[in-house]
Parts: sequence; C-alpha cells; structure tokens
Amino acid sequence: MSAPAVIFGLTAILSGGSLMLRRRIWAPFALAALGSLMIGVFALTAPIESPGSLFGMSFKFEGGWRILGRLVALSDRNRAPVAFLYLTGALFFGAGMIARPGRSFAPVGLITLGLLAGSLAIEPFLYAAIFLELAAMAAILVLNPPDLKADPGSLQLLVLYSLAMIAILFTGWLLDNVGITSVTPELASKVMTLLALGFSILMFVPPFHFWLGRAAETANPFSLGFIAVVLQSAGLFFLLRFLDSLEWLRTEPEVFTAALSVGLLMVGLGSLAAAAQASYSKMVAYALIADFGVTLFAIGSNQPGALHIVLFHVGVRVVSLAAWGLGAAVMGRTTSDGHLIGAGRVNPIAASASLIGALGLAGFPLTGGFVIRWALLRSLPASADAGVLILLCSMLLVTLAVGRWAAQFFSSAGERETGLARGTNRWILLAGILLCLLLGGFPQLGMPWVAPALRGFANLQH
Amino acid sequence: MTALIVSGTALLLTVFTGRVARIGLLAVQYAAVAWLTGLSLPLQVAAVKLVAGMIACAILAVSESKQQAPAQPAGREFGTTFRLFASGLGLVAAFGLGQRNWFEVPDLRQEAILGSTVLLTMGLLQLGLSGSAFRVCLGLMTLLSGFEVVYGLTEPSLAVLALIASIHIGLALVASYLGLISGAPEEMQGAP
Repeated sequence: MSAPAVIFGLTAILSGGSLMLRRRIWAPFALAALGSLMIGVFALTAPIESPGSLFGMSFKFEGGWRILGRLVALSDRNRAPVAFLYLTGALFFGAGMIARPGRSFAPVGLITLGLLAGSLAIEPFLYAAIFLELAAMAAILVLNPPDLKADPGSLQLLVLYSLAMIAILFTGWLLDNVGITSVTPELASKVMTLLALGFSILMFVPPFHFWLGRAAETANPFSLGFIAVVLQSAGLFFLLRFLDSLEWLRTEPEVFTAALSVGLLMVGLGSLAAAAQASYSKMVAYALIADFGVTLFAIGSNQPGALHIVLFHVGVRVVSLAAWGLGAAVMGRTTSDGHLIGAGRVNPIAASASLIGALGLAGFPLTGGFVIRWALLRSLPASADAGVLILLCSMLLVTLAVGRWAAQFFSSAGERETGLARGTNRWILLAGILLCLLLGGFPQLGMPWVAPALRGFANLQH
Repeated sequence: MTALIVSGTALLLTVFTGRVARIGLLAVQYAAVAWLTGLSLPLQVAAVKLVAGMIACAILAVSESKQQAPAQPAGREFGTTFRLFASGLGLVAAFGLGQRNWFEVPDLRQEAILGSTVLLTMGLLQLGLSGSAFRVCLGLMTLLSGFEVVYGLTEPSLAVLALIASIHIGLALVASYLGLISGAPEEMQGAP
C-alpha cells in the first residue's frame, strides 16, 4: 500500500464526509479535526518501506505513488512538513467548532491541506507551484463562504499565486534544461530574479502582501488565519527545499543577504503598518507580515541553529494565530459594536485568547513568539546593530498596538453584558491561552516537531 | 493566421462588456491556443488543452444562465474607449516583442512565440484593467494560455498537462462561485 495514496485518499473521503455533514454545527468540524489528526500522526510515524504490524496483521507502506508518470513521494525529506500541515488543520478544524467560520471551512479546508501536502510530496519538487496555485483557488472558497460577504482580497491572492506559479515553473525549465551552476552567472542571475519574484509572492513579501490586509477587512479572522498560515508555511517549506536541493543556490552568499534584508524590511514595514491600523483584524494581518519577516530574517542570518528556531517558530505561529482568530471570531459574534469597544467585558476569555495570540505574533516575552526573537538577538554578531534595533522596535510597536486594542476591549464605555463564553467554548479558549503560554515558557515542548522536520533539510544545517 | 485570431479574441475579450459574448470569445481563444500548441506538440496534447478550455467555458456559461441579477458595470471599471486604446498599445508592444524568441526555448515556431506573447500581454492587461471576479478569472485564463503555449513544449508530461488543465477548470469554478454568491459579480472589486 502506498503511504501518499492513503493520505490523499483519506483526505478526499474526509472532505466528502464533512461536505455531507455541512448543515450540522459540530459534526463536520469534529470529523475534519479527528481525520486531520489521524493523517498527521500517520504521516509522521508510519513505517515507510519497512514492514510493520498492527493487531497481528502485517503490512508495509511504500513511500512512492505514481500518477500519470509522475511520482508523489512521502519520505524523511517531507513527512514532517506534511504532518505539520495536517496537525495545523486538526487544531483549526477542532477550534472551528466554536469559531464557526462557515460551512465550506471543513470540507474545502481539507482539500486545501491535501493540495498543499501534494505540493510537498510531488517529484520533481518544482511542480509544487501548480499545487500551490490550486490551493490558492481552494482558499478562495474558504475565505468566501456562501453565507458571508464576498472578500476581494482573496481574488488578489489568486492573481498573485498565478504569477508565482508561472515564474517558478519557468525557473524549473531553466534549471532542468539550460544547466545553471555557479559558473554561469548570467543565467543564474535570470533564475534568481524569477525565483525572487515567485518566492516573494509565496512569502507575502511587500508589495505582494496587500491581499492579506484587504482580506482582513471582510473575511472571518479565523478562516484568514488558517489560510495565511498554511499557505505561507507550505511556501516556506518549498523555499527551504529549494535551498536544500540546489547547491549553487545555497552557496551563493547573496541569497542569504537578500533574505536577511527582505526579512528586516518585512519586520519594519509590517510593524509600522500594524501600529497604524484602525481595524483589529488588519492590525494582526500586518503583525503577521512582521512575524513572517522574522522567519526570513532568521534564515538570512545563516547562524548555526537558525533552522531549528525557524521550524520551532513556524509551529508557534500556528498556535498564536489559532488563539487570535478563535478569540476574534467569538468576540465578533457576541458583540454588536464593530469596533469591539467593550468586547472584552462581554467575553473576557475570548478577548484574552485573542490578545495573547496577537502578543505571540508581536514576540512579547512569555509567549512562543518571543523565543525566536530572543535567540536571534543573542546570536546576531555585534555588527548587526540595525537588525537588532529593527527587531526590538518591531516588538515594541506591535506590543503597543495590541495594548491599545486591549484597552479598547476592556473599556467601560462599551457593552457590559458578561458570561457568553460558556461550557466547551470556555475550555477551548482557555486551552488556546494555555498553549500559547506553555510554548513561551517551555520551548522544548516544540522539539518533537522540530527534530523530524530538520531531517528533511540536512544540507541546510550547520 | 492563428496568432491573428488569438490577437483578435484577446482584444475583444478586453474591450467587450457582455459576459455571454466574452464566454464565446474565450471558447474561440481556447481553440486557437490548442492549434498553436499543436504546431509543436502531438495532437492529443493539444486536444487536452482544447477539452479543458471548453469545459471551463461550459462552466462559465452554466453559471451565467443561473445568475438572476443582470451584470452591473462596476464603479472602477475603465471605459470602452480607454480599454480599446490600452489593448491597441498592448498589441503593438506584443507584436514588437514577439518577433524574436525572447523565451529562449528552442524549437519554438514563430507563430507560437507571437501568439504566446500576445496572450501574456493581453492577459496582464485584462488583470490590470478590471476588478470584477469574472474579468479577473478571464484575464488569468488568457495569461495562463499564453504561458502554456511555450511551457507545453518544455514540459510535455501528461501529469503536468492535466494539472495545468485543471487550473483552467478551477478558475472557471472560482469565477462562477464568486458570481453566484455575490449576485452581481461585476460589482466585486478585487484585482490588484
């Protein structure tokens, strides 16, 4: 039996199942969450190409699956990222029971995960760009459920991903047929320009980030958080695989210098824009850009152990975004005021979850987002004063912006009703808060994901 | 000759406002693209592109027939004269650029280079000139068609061909879905 076939087959079955249950409130989310969890654990732990047994029955999973002459493979190179995507899905689908992001969230969200997993498993890996484009199409359906107002930002996402796909596929052709090496500088420069365009879009680098701010105006914050984090994470894994596979690229110092500069630009612009926003969702959308920038900055720093903290941070971001999106969605549903004035007094647990998630994106101490920033600040050489300054200013700016919203949420000028977070809702929100703080206080809890993920990028480790 | 047909359909797709007419023009454009692909690749490969294109057009046509609200001109849509002028400029630029093999892909026929360049240019122009979901998806289909004429030669794998064909069908589904949920799709502003 082929492991990729099991993963994609199960994804299709679960998607169909949750589509049939879409009119129920809990059932599609519960099914999608349990199914995603199962697939994630399977991707991470299934014995590939070696015999195993369960309840006395012996079996063997093959790592490859051939479709129309192309190979879809699950191996040590990609099993941790594939598992990461499905475990992210399990978290978001589970929390979706109280966030209520729309009827299409669970079935189409599963399809999105399947396509992104396909982008990680396809060989040659350059065809990942096509799967990412298809995932962007599915994302439109997640961001625009039939019962909500259409979101224009998602259309911009589709246009940008189409351009990225074209750039990356053409790069692939150049790499395969023209033979780029470090001794063909002219062609290498062409390839790098196309790659820079493609990956700038996939990494949400300004000015290709604008769809996120636009989508934040109308989309459900929980859906937006899910789409942003899975698309960007898949793009990041794609970038790391590129660097890991192409020696001429990873030995080119300019590549890391560019990542460092672009990362700092994202950190600076994202935090400035976050501080200037009058909408809570848009503030967090720009804080997310700054947070993505920190990841690129860490990759570009090329310090020993940088990949460890990048992979850890990718996991932390999922938890922070889920907590933020969940709290924001619950607050938005239980408060009549669009500016959320006094929303924290109506629903203090939801407001706290949302604010702690946002603080995680800001890199506030005691949250998971602080770990990567602290590691970077400690490991950067003395000559990188500008980087240290921008990083510290960004943390301060985004924290102040979150603080401003906290004051607004708990302002006495707004609504006074309390007690809307009850029963299961309260426990899920509290679990989100606890998880954010646990990852900040005990970063070693993230190591079970980091260790297998590192095996996939052996050439990038110092 | 095929390059001229492609130029004509791409120009009219940019200028026309009637959605039924644009679906018809898109079908003609897909037929021309299949012909251009067939210049360098086996007929079966070209036929796959044609079938995928026709399925996409059929999806758009069905969703068009189901929409109750008449198409409204969007607030930020450009006027016909401006679009005609911009398309003319775009075509001149594309014809200039398409005189040589600027893709640097070997064994590419002159007609395919010209057709592909025109489609890429007009696709980008359509994306820039409109914000409606329907027009943006049509622009993307035009852009991707231009890319495929060249890319099909460099990567003739059946799996990749099927995946790219599925993108056209996906775009048609997205345009239809957004059209159906927003009632009057032309009002949706979304292009960069």
